[in-house]
Amino acid sequence: MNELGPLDRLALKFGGGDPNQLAQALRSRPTFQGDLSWLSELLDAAERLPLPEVPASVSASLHDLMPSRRDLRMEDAASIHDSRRDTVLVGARGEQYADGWTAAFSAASADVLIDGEPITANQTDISGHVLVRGEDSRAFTVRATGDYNIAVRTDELGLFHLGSLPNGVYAMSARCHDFEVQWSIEVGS
Amino acid sequence: MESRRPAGSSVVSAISRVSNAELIRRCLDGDPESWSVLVDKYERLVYAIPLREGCDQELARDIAQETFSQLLASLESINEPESLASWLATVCRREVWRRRRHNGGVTELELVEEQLDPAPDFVDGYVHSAEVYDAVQTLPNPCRSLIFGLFFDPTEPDYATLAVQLGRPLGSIGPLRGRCLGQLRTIMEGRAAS
Repeated sequence: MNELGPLDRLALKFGGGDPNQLAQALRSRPTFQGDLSWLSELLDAAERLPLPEVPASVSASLHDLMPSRRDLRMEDAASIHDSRRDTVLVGARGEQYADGWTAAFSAASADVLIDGEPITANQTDISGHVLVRGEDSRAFTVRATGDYNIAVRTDELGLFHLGSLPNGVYAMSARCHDFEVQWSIEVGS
Repeated sequence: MESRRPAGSSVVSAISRVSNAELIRRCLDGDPESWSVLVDKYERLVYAIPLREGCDQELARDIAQETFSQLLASLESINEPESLASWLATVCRREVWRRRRHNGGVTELELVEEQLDPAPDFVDGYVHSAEVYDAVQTLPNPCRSLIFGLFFDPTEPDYATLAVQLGRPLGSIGPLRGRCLGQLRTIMEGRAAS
C-alpha cells in the first residue's frame, strides 16, 4: 500500500517532511520505538478508511429512520382477563398461589400478561411478559406511572420484573422502537 | 457534492459525550435526538466502507440506509455498545457483499469462500480502523476535531485550515496535536488492556 518507511510517512503527515529530523526528535524520547509503532498503526488505520463527507440527502434519510415519539404507533390494550374478577380460572394457579393474581391485556401488536404477588397488605410484587403478535419476541421498556414510578427493560423474550409496587392504580406501557402499548391496572388484591 | 457541514469540520459540534450505551437506551425509549447523535457519530464510517469497496454513491447510500436500519432493529441486542463502530463496519461490509452477489458481481463460490475465510487481514483492518474511529469519537474537543482532521478527513486540511476551523492560533496546533495524540493513545491502550 505504501512504499515509504514509517518515519517518512510520519514526517510527511506531521509537516516538515524530513524523516531524519523527525527521527531525531523521536529518538530523544525514551519511548521512541513504542511511539513510532503506535503512530504508524494509527496512520495505517486512518489511511485504510478515509471518511468522506456524507451527502446531505443521505444523512437526512439516515436521521429520518428513527420515528419520533409522535410517530410511534400508540396502542391501547384492553383487559381480557383478571383473575381477581374472573374467578373461574383462579383454580388453574393452584392453592399455593391463592394470594397471587394474573391479568392479561391485548392490543393489536402485542399481548401483556401481569402477575401480582402480594408481599404485604400494601405492597405487591409485579412481574410480566410482553408477547409480540405475529413475529419473534423482542425487548421493551416497560413503565409504570402512578403512586410510584418505575421503568425497566424486558429481556429479549419480553419478560420483565417491576418489583414491589405500593398498591394503587397505575398507567403502564411497553415501548419498543416502533410502537407502544398502554394499559392501566389496579395493583392490590 | 452536497454538503451538510463545512469540509473538515467533522462530526464534532453536534455530538454530546453521552456514552453509546446511554444513547442506545434512550433510542429504545423512542428518543429521536439520541438516534441523531448516533447517526452523526457513525454515518461517515458507514458511508465510507462501500465507497472504499468500489460501490458508486447511489449504492453506498442504499447500503448505509440498510446498515442503519439493521442497527435500529437490533438496538436491543447490541452487547458491546462502546464497540458499535466495529458492529456497524461488519454489518456494512456484509451488506456490500450481499448486494454484489445480488447484482452478479460475486459468484456463489466466492461468497462461500468469503464466509469460510473472510480475508482476515482485510476484515481485521476495517475493525481496527473502526476501533480507532470509536476512540477518536470519545475524545473531548478540540482534540476530536483535530485528530479527525489530521487523520480521517480525506480533504486533508492543512494546519492553517485546521487552526481556522478550531478557532486557535496556527502556532498552537503542533503542541495541541501532541497532547491530543497522547490522550488518544491513553484511551486506545486502556481499551486494549480491558
